[in-house]
Amino acid sequence: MAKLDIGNNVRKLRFLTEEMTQQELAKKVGVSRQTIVAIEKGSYSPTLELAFKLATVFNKPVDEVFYVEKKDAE
Amino acid sequence: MSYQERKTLTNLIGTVVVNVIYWIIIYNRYLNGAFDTENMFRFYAIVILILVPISIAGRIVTTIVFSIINSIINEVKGEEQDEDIIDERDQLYELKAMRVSLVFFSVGFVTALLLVLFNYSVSHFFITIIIFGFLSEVVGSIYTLCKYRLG
Repeated sequence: MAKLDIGNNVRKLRFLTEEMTQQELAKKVGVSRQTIVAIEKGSYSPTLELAFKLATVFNKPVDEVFYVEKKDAE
Repeated sequence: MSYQERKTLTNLIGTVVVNVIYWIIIYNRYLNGAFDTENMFRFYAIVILILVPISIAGRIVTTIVFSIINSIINEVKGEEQDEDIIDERDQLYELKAMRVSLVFFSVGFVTALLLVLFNYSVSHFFITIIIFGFLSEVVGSIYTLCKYRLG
């Protein structure tokens, strides 16, 4: 199976959650601000644990925070 | 440049500076006949064993100096102090860099063994290992920097 492109709504959900800053979100999930930046840019895919932590902060299911952008099935 | 990139770059510079100074000192002392070069195995054992604590001390000093300078710069710029968090992304990049370093060092070790096979001296063997050991650290740091830059 080809590699999946994982997109996310972190930036959008941050703004919908009282315009939370990257620093505030980073503090809540226990990572650095740069990691949040990398996730938002799509250059880093978080572990399942961090994905669930982010979903918990936004009070959303994980599949509303992260989604598969393109699926190149063989 | 992010805090992690600055930290990695500082560690890289620290490693290069400590190693260059150390080997210049050792080379000068070697030329002055300060070491017993009759037994080359013993000579290289001594210089490598001395390098280990010096490298650790150098890393500690570099980290302390970096923290102080970074705090001062943030204070002057009026920016928020960087939090020294090592999260999953840092650990992942560190592990990948370590793998790259190990592969690089393994190539050096095999090269050193090949030199022995082709009747080169013990010095060539150890010098090759030392050079590749140093370069593997540099390559690992550069790889980490690239990962932070490019993701």
